[in-house]
Amino acid sequence: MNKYKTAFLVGVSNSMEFRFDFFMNLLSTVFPIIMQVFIWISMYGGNGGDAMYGYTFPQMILYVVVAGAVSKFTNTGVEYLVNEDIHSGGIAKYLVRPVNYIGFRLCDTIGNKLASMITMVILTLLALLVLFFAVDFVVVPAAVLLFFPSLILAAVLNFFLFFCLSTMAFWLTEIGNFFHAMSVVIMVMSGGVFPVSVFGHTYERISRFIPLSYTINYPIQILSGVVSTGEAVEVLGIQLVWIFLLAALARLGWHRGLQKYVAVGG
Amino acid sequence: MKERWRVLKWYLKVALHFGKLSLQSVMEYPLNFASGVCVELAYMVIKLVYLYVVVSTGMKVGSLTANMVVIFVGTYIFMTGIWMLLSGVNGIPDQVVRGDLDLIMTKPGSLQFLQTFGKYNFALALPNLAAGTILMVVGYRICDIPVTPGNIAIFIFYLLMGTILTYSFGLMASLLVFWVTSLNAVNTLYSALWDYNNMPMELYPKIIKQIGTFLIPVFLITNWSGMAVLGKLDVLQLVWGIVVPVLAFFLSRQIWKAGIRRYTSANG
Repeated sequence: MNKYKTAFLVGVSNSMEFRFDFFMNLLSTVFPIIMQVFIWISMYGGNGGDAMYGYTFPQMILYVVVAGAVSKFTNTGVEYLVNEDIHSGGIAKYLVRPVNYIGFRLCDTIGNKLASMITMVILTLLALLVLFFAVDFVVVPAAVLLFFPSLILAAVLNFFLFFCLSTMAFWLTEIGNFFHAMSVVIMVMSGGVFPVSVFGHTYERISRFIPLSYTINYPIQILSGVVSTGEAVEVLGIQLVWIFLLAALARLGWHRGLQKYVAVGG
Repeated sequence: MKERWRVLKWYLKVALHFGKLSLQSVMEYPLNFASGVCVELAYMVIKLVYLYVVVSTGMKVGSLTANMVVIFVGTYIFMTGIWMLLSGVNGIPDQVVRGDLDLIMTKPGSLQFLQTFGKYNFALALPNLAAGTILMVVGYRICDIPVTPGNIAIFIFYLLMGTILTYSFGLMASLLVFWVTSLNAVNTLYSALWDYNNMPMELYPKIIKQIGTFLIPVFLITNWSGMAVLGKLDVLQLVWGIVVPVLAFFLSRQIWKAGIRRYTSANG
């Protein structure tokens, strides 16, 4: 168990080493948020303030304010690490050690996310406070309490989703750009820019049966009160089911890939 | 005058040759080219999602109709293509850190020209240039703007001014490498500022419009061509759209000279 604890602590240490970059990245998420806030102010202004895409004006503002931070938080970047390990021959060292590679990477990622989690809590509370004073928007305490577990589950779900994708590196050599393109498309489809309902009823219905929207869209819906407490608990359950399914798929892909792996690099 | 014309022709010929070489080198690995195009297409999804929301709801952005917004988003995507194309500008930090400017210094011609126009990234630029051009043409047509030589000339003129600004701002951001060690944070912030042009400046309140026009004039890059052709700029604003690119180019040239004086080739 100690080795996984060490992986977690190394992750925490790494995330704090680049804290200036982390805060600059956080600042860079503020700019698109400002743009989106003005888009929605303009749209709701022209609409007479009625609900659009299933969101009232304060709920939509909360969504765009929190979405950027949530997508940054749930984005683990594990696909690049696994790709690097596979193509540089670096996984050889993990194969000879008494350690489960997927578990090791998961603990490292969670460690990396610890500092971000603290920032996320502060940011969310700040956003709620600003919205309370600006537009009298009040969130249900249960929504806030359910939001944070769903956020952690979203990060774990995203980890396994991208771990599954990363196992493609066993079969393909030049895959870095593919990961980059996929992460952008997945972020948009998960609701990282606009709520999923903006893309129409058909996609909204489909999104209930695929894991993507459970990484960004649903956690924010829980916070903004678009879904009821009962539905929020259901979302947490579905997130867990997807985590187990994708973890099994990741394990399968990993073992299949290892059978093909030849340590010629590194 | 004749001598200057001859020099200009030589630089143009060299730039075209560099372009040909960049295209040849990228076509050597077609899969890399295709994957680069895919990355840019993915980012374009985000840019187009904003436009989709505006057009599908028919919202007005300030005094601009949804149809007019198409021209501005098209210009923004086109200018992003120009920015991506200039990989020589964006590659300066790496070249300086590695001490790779030494070799270019030994070549005949202006060092700034050889570095900034020596390499082009067609994979990242082409999807943006193509989509941007299509959107600009479509926007122009659906807005029923008269297709007169005067309108087209003024639109292209301010596109050129925007291109000069894109080059100058990109260069100034990259040149900071002569004074600071890591540009990650600067690049992140510059990209975020650039993305403000994803929507017309009419969307923002007065204070942001003024900052983006006078203090950090990023709005001039993608808004002026559309605003000029739609008759939404007064004479002073039209002049401002010419003065700023000229000043920015001059300033970037001075910063380049100052930066080169600090270059020590320490990591060469």
